[in-house]
Amino acid sequence: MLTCGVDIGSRSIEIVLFDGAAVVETTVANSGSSPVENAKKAFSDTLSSAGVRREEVAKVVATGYGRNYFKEADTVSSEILCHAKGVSYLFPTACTVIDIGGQDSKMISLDTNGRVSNFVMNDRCAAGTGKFIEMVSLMLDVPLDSMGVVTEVSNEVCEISSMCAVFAESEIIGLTQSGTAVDVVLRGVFRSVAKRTLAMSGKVGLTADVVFTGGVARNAGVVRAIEHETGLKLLVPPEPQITGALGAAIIAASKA
Amino acid sequence: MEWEERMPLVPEEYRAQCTFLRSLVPGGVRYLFSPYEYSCRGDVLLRRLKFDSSLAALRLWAFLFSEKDRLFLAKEKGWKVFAAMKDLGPVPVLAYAVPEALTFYADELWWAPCFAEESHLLDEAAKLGAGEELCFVRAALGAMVTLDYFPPPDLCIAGVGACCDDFSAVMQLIESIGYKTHWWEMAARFEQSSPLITERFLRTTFGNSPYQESARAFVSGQLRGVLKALEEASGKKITDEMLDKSRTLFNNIRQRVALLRDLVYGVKRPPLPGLEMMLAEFIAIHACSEPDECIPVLDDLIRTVQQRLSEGASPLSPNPIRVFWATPPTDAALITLLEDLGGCIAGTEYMISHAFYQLATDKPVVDAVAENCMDDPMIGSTAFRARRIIEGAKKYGAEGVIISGISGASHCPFDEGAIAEAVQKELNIPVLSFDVPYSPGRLNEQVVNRMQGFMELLSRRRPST
Repeated sequence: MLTCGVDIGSRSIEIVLFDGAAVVETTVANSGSSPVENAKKAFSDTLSSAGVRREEVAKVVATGYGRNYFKEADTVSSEILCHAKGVSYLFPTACTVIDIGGQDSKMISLDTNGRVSNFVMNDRCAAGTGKFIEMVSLMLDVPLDSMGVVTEVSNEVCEISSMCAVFAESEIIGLTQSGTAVDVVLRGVFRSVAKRTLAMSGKVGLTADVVFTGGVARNAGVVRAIEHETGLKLLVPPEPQITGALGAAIIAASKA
Repeated sequence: MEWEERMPLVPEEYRAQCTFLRSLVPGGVRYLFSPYEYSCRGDVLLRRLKFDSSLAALRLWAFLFSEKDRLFLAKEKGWKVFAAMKDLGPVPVLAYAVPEALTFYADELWWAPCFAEESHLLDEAAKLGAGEELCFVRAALGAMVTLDYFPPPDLCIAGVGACCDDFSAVMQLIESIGYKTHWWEMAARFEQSSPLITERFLRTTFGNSPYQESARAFVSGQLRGVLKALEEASGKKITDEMLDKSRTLFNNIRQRVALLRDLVYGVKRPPLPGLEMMLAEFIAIHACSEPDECIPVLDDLIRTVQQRLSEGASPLSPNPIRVFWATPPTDAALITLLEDLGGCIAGTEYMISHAFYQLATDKPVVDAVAENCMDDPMIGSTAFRARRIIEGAKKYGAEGVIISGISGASHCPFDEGAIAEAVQKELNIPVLSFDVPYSPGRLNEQVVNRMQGFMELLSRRRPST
């Protein structure tokens, strides 16, 4: 039996086709200015790539900010539950999930059965999100995919003290103009993101094993920064950005 | 079926019963119109709400939205109109002792931007210097400029002190544009364990809240000042008999609201939606500018609820997840969202819980009102409010607690964490807290996200799932 999870986020769309035991097909696409239309296309492309007809997919669950507008879905579920499901499937020993997406970040605590026991979200501060890192990537002319490599050469770090993404941008410009090396600024940015994210742990706790998901988890620099701040080794899925969609597909399987 | 379609089916004799200001206009003025008709007068966001289908609920909504009609009519006919602000209940008990006068809460206008399509009240307030750094009570300032919602009051009675200080800033701006204002101060209630307090502590008659003796005495003195200001503004002497009559009337209202809460929140599947209950609960403090008419409005609701209980009927889903709600949401549609997500309201602490207690009848009215102020959850510590929330959540068997903060409201930012911790420690149930940003015309996606996640969490805590 095939099921499908569709995660329509602010920056990207992830689709996972699941056969109850393994992932059959995945798609990652940009949300763009028409996220629902783009999600429809990505859904259709996923089925085509897998050689599957819509009727063969027993259930489709949508999640993410665009979930309520995706009419192809049979039902919807919050990202919180979907990320928890996806993480529990990939890492059965996980107790905490850190998810940093384009628009928000969240921390979820899981009980011993992998169920959500508490969660906290930050969607008020852009300085702790993937969108902020994208902005920094453009400002410093360092591609997102290269950020991890650029920052692994040393441990020198500068302080980014601004709490607001807009002011942080001014601060970064000031640092580069005063001659601070790009990799040092980047490490400062990553530490700032890590601190903002970990500020949420006061509400839900931070118990190992900790799994890091969302598009930002692909950035090795942020992973290192969070590990440095927590003193914990993070578990990162091979494709961390599809975890929510995977969870949605697993939920779909349980409802089919 | 939409209410607009149902209106022709409403019996004429029922419409005829629903009138206001019978003591001013022979036969009174009819007010039973559909929410749609009221929405046509500007409160267009009403169209996105879901209404209970009972006649009693229709009457409740119509009574609420005809408030401005009463105020303008009373003013036109020569009655006095007083604006109470930020005291959450005590001033109307005194003010309705004054003959030929109506009293309304200008700061109740916090909901106006949430129901009206455009934000003109907030824009007007911003022009006078009250911007987004202040909570929605700033809409009252805009309303004092536009006079769209009430006529110019003969006197503003502004409570300050141990309450929201955003309001104090707003009220100063209102006074600065020429409104006659009487200021009075609410005393703070301290914890009995505070080493700073050495004086005698007493307990309120009905709420059993501990308070320092001097606080109650101070508030009594302040309320006597309010009475004097009312006498000067109205040109009428307020007698003890008039005050007694007003106390009796407000006790009747409070008794009905308290009964309604127990009937609705005390059963597994509440027979009345949370939105209508929120309106009914607020009647206990503002009385919709006509306390006399509150009695039949509340009696109708109670009858409807009792009938539904006897029939096992409810508009809510079977076996809903029970959620205690603290602090009123600035977007009324969130209450309905909770129900759409399979939940129900199982108790509330909208910061007006003191208004569900009776006013003591064994002491002068001013002292009884001052004593009731000592039950106000806003004038004490967060620990006190947390205890009130815990008691309520326990009483009504809540499975979770939602605390919806009001953006910019200065009494909120530090409450949430401490309350959440106390609830989790005492009851071991999940707590969700969030601010509700101003997003007219649509639900805030981020809040929806949190609520959906929270309801999923509660659902999975149930043994059967």
